Order: sequence, then structure tokens, then C-alpha cells
Amino acid sequence: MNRASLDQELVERAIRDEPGARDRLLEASLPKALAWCMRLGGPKVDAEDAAHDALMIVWTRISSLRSPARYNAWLYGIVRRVLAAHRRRAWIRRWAPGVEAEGVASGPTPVKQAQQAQLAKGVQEALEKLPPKQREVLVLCELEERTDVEVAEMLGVPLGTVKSRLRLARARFGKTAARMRLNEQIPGREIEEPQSELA
Amino acid sequence: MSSPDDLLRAFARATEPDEAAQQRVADRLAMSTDAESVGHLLRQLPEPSEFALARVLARVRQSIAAGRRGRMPLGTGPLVAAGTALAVVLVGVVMAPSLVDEPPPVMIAETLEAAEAVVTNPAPGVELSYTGWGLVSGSERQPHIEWGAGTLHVDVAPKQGIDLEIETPHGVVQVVGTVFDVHVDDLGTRVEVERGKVRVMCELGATTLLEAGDETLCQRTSPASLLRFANSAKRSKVAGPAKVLSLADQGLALQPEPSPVRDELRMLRFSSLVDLKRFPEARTAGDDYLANPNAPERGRVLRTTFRLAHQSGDCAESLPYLQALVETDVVAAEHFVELARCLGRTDPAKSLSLLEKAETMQPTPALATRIAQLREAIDAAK
Repeated sequence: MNRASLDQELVERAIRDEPGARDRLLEASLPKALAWCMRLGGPKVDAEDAAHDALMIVWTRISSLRSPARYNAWLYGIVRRVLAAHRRRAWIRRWAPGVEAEGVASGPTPVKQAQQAQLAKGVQEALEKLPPKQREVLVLCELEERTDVEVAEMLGVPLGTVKSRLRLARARFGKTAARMRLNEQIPGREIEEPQSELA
Repeated sequence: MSSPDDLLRAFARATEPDEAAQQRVADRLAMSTDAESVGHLLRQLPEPSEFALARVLARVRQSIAAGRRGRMPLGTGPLVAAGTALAVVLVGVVMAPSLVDEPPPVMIAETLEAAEAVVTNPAPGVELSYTGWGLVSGSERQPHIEWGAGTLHVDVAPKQGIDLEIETPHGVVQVVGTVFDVHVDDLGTRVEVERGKVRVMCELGATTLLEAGDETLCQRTSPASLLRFANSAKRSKVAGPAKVLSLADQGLALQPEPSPVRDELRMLRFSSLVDLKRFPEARTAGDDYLANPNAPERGRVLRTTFRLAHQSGDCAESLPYLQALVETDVVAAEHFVELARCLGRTDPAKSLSLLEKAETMQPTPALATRIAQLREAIDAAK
């Protein structure tokens, strides 16, 4: 699902509660909302639970959105508040400890999948060490390749604030990543499998 | 006795940074200043999988169908304000305690897992005694229980404003001040009310209002709901692979349309059969999963089904999996070697070409020896 699919017309139709529009808007918003939850929630938050809660709010309150053009920012604001609430619970599900490696299991071999999952976990830990405001700017700008103007609009802060937060976030994340030697774990830089698959 | 100069020279030698240390510092500097490296590392974070998207969408639709509404959580601002106001009230500076309408919610979280009856009070006015597994979350005023299997006896103090909700694979139970039992097994969710009133919303079916002495059974459910609970069971410490298998079987028995939900149910069936060491059935389940050429975990399942088929050492058993495996990107040098062994007598030319491929994949010394032995055997058989 690309960003274009969250087109303004669909948002307007959902606000007017036209048949099927709200459902399609949920479908279109889901990949973005879940990605935000996975990237910004940290290891203690169940990203799927948070995405569910955020989308339920979208479903219930879409009619209160005044400016359809600001849907992305509105959605992000909801995800942000839901994540904050989930984080406050400070609850790690005992039956699902840690981060699920699902989604990274596309590596060519089990060993590489495990390395990829380990690296993703490391990157998430490094992100977790950033202050929340720097973390969100880094994810939105670096990972989602949004412009600083767009991010400033989404967060409702001045452009200069986004730029300074991004600069600080890059430096801090880079230092942490170097300390954790994450750059040495990027696939392709070393490690050849193969371990016997045969019984 | 060494002179001060000697000592200084020795100190300089001892503290001379080695190449590795210099490289480490250079790497750190590069990482701290290089936006491209930062971006590259961040892109190692996973994208949401197709399964995860399907699961969340199914849950959202289920919640909408059950008539639930999204509630915007309180931000930290109102929480701080409410906390401050509460503190002011408590020290008695303000004479009107009604200024604080509602204190911030007290969040709760508790895992319920017990093979023998256990009693717990996750929130004031709520007593649960149970055998089975589930999870309590939400707030003290609005506890939410996911109940996966077993019997749950619920006692909610009346007129305390406790809005308790229980979700099972077959439906949702809502109560305000009552005593009742929820029993979940493979046949469905049975609710029996001892005191008060309970609203039961079956996953597929009518909503019923039960009073003291009434009982109801929700039997029908959706594949997505069963998938969700099968995934929870997989993570549970007490549910075990047999429970996962049972839930996956129930989901598949509903004959879901070709979809990520069906693929994931098949995957759970396959992996739990492997966990249960029911290998012949696991192979059949693996074949079911592999019937979808676009199934996302195809390579992983092929590797395991190949291993299962290979246990007998009979090439006729393992050949189909090997042939499919070499078409995937998860193939390893060992697979080429084993396929070469199986085809050695019938198609020596192809065997030799497979061995050549294996050699290009930097085989381990042991595998290299095996390749040499097979090549000799094939040449001798010619």
C-alpha cells in the first residue's frame, strides 16, 4: 500500500460515511499504522494491539476530522497517543517475550534469518535509547523518506525543530549503533553459512 | 633503574593504539556523521508482514462487528493535570473534591495460566478463578480478558462501575456486576450466569442477554478469530502444540477462502504437528501448505518437509521436495549434493552439474569430501 492510496477523496468519502469508504480507509491506513507501531513502539509494546486500537479510533472518530488533507498527520497523532498509552502500561506479555522476528524471516537461510532478526532487534534497541521526539523524527525522515517539511506538518512543530531533532537523532543513533557494532552485522559484510540441512 | 625517558618511551609504546582500535574509532566517527549509514541500518527494521496486516485487519473488523468503539487514550497532559488536581485535593487546599471528575485509569496486566484451579484479583472488585490460559489487560475499571481455553469463573462486585469484557475465540462477553462461568473448549464457548446479567455477543451469531440461571453456547466462529487465538496459544507456556493444532484445525475446518489467514492456519498446523513429532501427518500438512505456490514461508516449509522425507534415506520420498527446493532462494549446497546423489544412477550428467553448483557455494570441508566421493562414484558407474 503506498502513500498515494490514502488519497484525499477516500478520506472525504469516509468522513461523509459513504458505504464501504471507512472500511477501505482502514485497509489503506493499516500498513502505515502498523509500521509506525512496530518502529516506534519499542520491544515492550505489542505493535498489532496498538495498531488495532489506533484503527478503532480512526473508525470511530473519522467524522470529526475537519481537514481531509491532514489525514496523515491526524492518523500519526492517533498512533502516537495510542503508543504512549501502551508504553505506559509498561507491560511485557509473558507469553510473548521480546520482539517477534516475523517479517524479517525472508533471509535466504535460517542462519541468515536469525542474524537479520538479531540485527533488527539491535536497531530497535538503539532506537529505543533515543528520546521519543528524536526517535519519531529519525524514523519518519530516514526510514520513511519523508521530507522535513512534511514531518514538521505531521508533528505540528516548526521546520527548524525537525531539522535540529534529526541532526541530534542521527548523531546519537550513530554513536549507539557504533557502540553496539551494528554496522558490522549488516548482511553481506561477513558470515557465510552453510550448516548441514541433511538429517 | 630506568631513566625517565625510558619510562616515557615504554609508556608511549604501551599506549600506542593498535590498528583495530583505530578502525573502531574511525567506524564510530563514520557512523555518527554519516547519514547514509544511519539510514542503511534503520532499513534493517522489518516491514509489517502480510500475515500481521491480515491479523490486525481481521481483529479490527471483528471489533467493529462486535459494536466496540475506539477510545482515544488520555495524553500525558491531562494525566499530569489530573494528578496535580488530585494532589491538591488530597492536601486539602481545595475544599471541593468534585473538581476531580475522574482519576487517571490504573492499568492492569496479568497472564492467566494454570493447569489447576487458581484464584486471582486482577482489579478491585474482580475475582477470577480459573483453569486454563488467558490474559488480563486494560484498566481496573475496564478489565479486558482474552480467554483462550479452559474454565473461568468470574465474580464482579455489583454497582462498582466495573465494565468487564471477556473475549474468546467464539465471541465476546460483557458484564456489569455479576457472577458467571465461561468455559472454552474445541466445541465452543459456554457461558453460565449465576447472578446478575451478562451480554454475550457470539463471533458469528446473535447477541443474547443472559440472566441468573441462563446459559448459552457460542459455537460458530471465524477462521481469523481462531487464527488469533492459535497464535496466542503458540506463545502460551501452558497451551502447548496440541492446543495450537486444535485451534488451527478448527479454523481450517471452516474452509477459509485462499488467503493469508488460510496459509497461516496451515503453517500453524504444520509446525505444531512437527512439534508433536507426528511426522507423517506433518508431511501431509506441509504438502497442503506448499499447494499454494505463493505461500510466504514456502522455502522454510520445503526445507523441513525435505528433512522429514529424507529420514528414510529413500530418494523417491525426498526427490520432489529437493527438486522444488533447488528452485528457491533458500537452497544450500547440501541440497544440491543430496539431489545429485539421488539422481546419480538415472541422470549422471545432471548429477555432475549439480555437484559443480554445490562446489561454487563454498562447501564445508566435509561436504567437499562428500562431493569428491560422489563424483568418483558417478564416474565409476558410467
